[in-house]
Amino acid sequence: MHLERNSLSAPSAQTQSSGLEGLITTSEDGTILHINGRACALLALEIKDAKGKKLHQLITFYSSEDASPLTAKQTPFQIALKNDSYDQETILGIATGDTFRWFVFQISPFAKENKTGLLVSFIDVSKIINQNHALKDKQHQLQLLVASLNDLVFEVTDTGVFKNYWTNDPGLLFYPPEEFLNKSLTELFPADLAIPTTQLIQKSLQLNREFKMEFQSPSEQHRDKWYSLQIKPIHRSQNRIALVVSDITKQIESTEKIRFNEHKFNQAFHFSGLGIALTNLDGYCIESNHTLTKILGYTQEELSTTKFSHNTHPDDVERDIELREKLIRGEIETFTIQKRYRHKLGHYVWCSVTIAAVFDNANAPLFLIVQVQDISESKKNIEILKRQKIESDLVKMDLETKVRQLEEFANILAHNLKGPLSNMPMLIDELKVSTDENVKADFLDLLKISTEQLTETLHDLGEILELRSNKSLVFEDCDFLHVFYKVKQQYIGEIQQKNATISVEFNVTNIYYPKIYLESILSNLISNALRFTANDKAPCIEIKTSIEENGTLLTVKDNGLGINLPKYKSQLFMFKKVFHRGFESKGIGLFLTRYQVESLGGKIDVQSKPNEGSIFSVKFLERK
Amino acid sequence: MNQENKRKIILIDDNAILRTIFGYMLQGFSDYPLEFYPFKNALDALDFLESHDISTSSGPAILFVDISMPFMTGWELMDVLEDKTDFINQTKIFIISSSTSQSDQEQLANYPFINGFILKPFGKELLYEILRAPL
Repeated sequence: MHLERNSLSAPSAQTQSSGLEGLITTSEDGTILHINGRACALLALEIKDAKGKKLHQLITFYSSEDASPLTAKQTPFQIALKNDSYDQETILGIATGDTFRWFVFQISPFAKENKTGLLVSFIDVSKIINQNHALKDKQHQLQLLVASLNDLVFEVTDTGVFKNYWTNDPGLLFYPPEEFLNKSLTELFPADLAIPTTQLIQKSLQLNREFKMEFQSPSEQHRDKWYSLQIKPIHRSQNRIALVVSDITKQIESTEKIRFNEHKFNQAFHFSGLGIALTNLDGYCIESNHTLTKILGYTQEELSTTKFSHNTHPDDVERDIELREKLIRGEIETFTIQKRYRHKLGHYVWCSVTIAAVFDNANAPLFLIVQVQDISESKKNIEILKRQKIESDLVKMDLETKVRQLEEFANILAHNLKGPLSNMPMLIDELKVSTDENVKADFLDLLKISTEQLTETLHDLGEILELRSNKSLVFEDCDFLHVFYKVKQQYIGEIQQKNATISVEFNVTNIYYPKIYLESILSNLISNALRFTANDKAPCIEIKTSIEENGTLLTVKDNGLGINLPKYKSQLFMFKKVFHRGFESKGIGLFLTRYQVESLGGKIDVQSKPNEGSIFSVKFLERK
Repeated sequence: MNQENKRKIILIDDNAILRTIFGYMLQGFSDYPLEFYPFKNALDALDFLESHDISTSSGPAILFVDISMPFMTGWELMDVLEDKTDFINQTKIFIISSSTSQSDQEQLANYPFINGFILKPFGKELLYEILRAPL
């Protein structure tokens, strides 16, 4: 663009009409002297308007650097006038419409007819400048693009020679640029990397297609690094390709991690001792393992077409579904329940089931992981243990009763046998020494009575001992009302004599029990109620049966003398205890009744207050 | 002889035969005059004690009390008497029982005012020894 203007000694702007140049001459103060047609055309001026004016008055010039408008002083014309710095070449723009036009100005001094001034010549360079601007923009964009890349991009020839490179970080390069540019892959890299890469380059060029491969770092120090290599044909180029290398170590690592986790999960899933299934949110089995098949009897195919609730015991379905819904709503993370699954063969299997939900990134539930443990064996064992516990509790109760009874027998022995027995040696001693025949006769009588008493006591004891071995007892269905009528018959005399009323309310009508015991128990209680009556009121006896927790309760209520319970309760059901003075009583009835009741696992109790009557209650333990 | 001067011997035992033998035994005692009051239960005995003055010039009354009795056991009677300090001071109390049980021996220690324990059967020599004991 350098124009040798120095050779122009006397430029005459008017005559210089040829060429593309616009020519303007100005006086020393910048006033336009001459302007040629081309200049007018380029600057969109009329010659008549231009002459005598100054350039900056007519036109606003813009800087080529940043397209900013220049003040008069900043224009090269003014500067040239001031500083005598001529011969400079400056690009300036003018605005025509909404586009810029760009000119390159050459300013040189001239002296003619004693006049000095400036010769300004310029040509339109808009096209070049605009292209230049566009290039600059592109370059800028490219820089931005490269800066944004984490990859290395190379331009490589069809033979694998590196021609160019772009990178955001030169530190990523395998070699310093001067060492690899214009060298080929085979020179730079081991054969096992260079050869396949070169082959791919050729293939890519042949097929005009993109290829990709992954490779491990060729450098020993960076063995753990993985790269991806993309080979892309360059548009409209026959023998160049772009080679893009990206560090994919992290992806490889995370893929590896995912693969490992998947493997782990697979192993855990398929070889677990627990039955595991993935089900969709409706409970349909997506996948299941072999253990589950073993537990439920269904094959994986069969399971995949069934909803879990179909195979759940009807009693367990509701709770299961309720918890699953909570899980799907994210209210709980997991739950474990014990429930029964129906085995393919029809029986139920007790299982401990733990279910957790898997959610996607947006927290939407995807599927459920169901873990199933067969606990039927332990359930069975627990049942057995429970039954054994009940049995041993019964045995314990029985033993405790027997121990207590033994203690009582020891007591009976001490008081009821030893006492009368101790009379006998005393009587015999007196008989030996006495000389009085009358006394002797009396003592022999006493000895006889003592023997009789002892025999009777032994007989009573024998009866009680009989109760302890209840082998001969016959259990049968006893109708309370029938038994009552039979017993009532025995006391008909006393009932009439004392004008007693007996009411019955058998809410439980029957009981499976030894009839002779039931008769004996009822007989004793009615007998007591009829015997210990108050003088001033007619006996009123109420007999009831009712259903109680695990058994039947029989109550006999009277309005008789009652018993001072705080005082006598401990002795009430004891052998030969009497509590009412002035009544014929052996004191064996309640003792016998208690023995009969207890020998079959029942209990007898009493509520009473003196002069307010008593309520005897018998709780039967039914053995069916 | 003035009844007041006879020493009172009280037996509380539900066994009629023992009461009879006891009476015969006392008849054979001739050292000093006695008066025998047998009771078949403690309640009857208490009724008597509350309505009679048992203090005499011829020595303190002696109570022989069985343990196992209907209505009120010997021990329950001791509980009643325990509070009657005056009565305890002017009587001697003996327990007569065929029981050798540990629990009855332990009970004995609860009533320091009891003068002795007589195990049935016993001979009249033992009874006379007690009657002859210094006042």
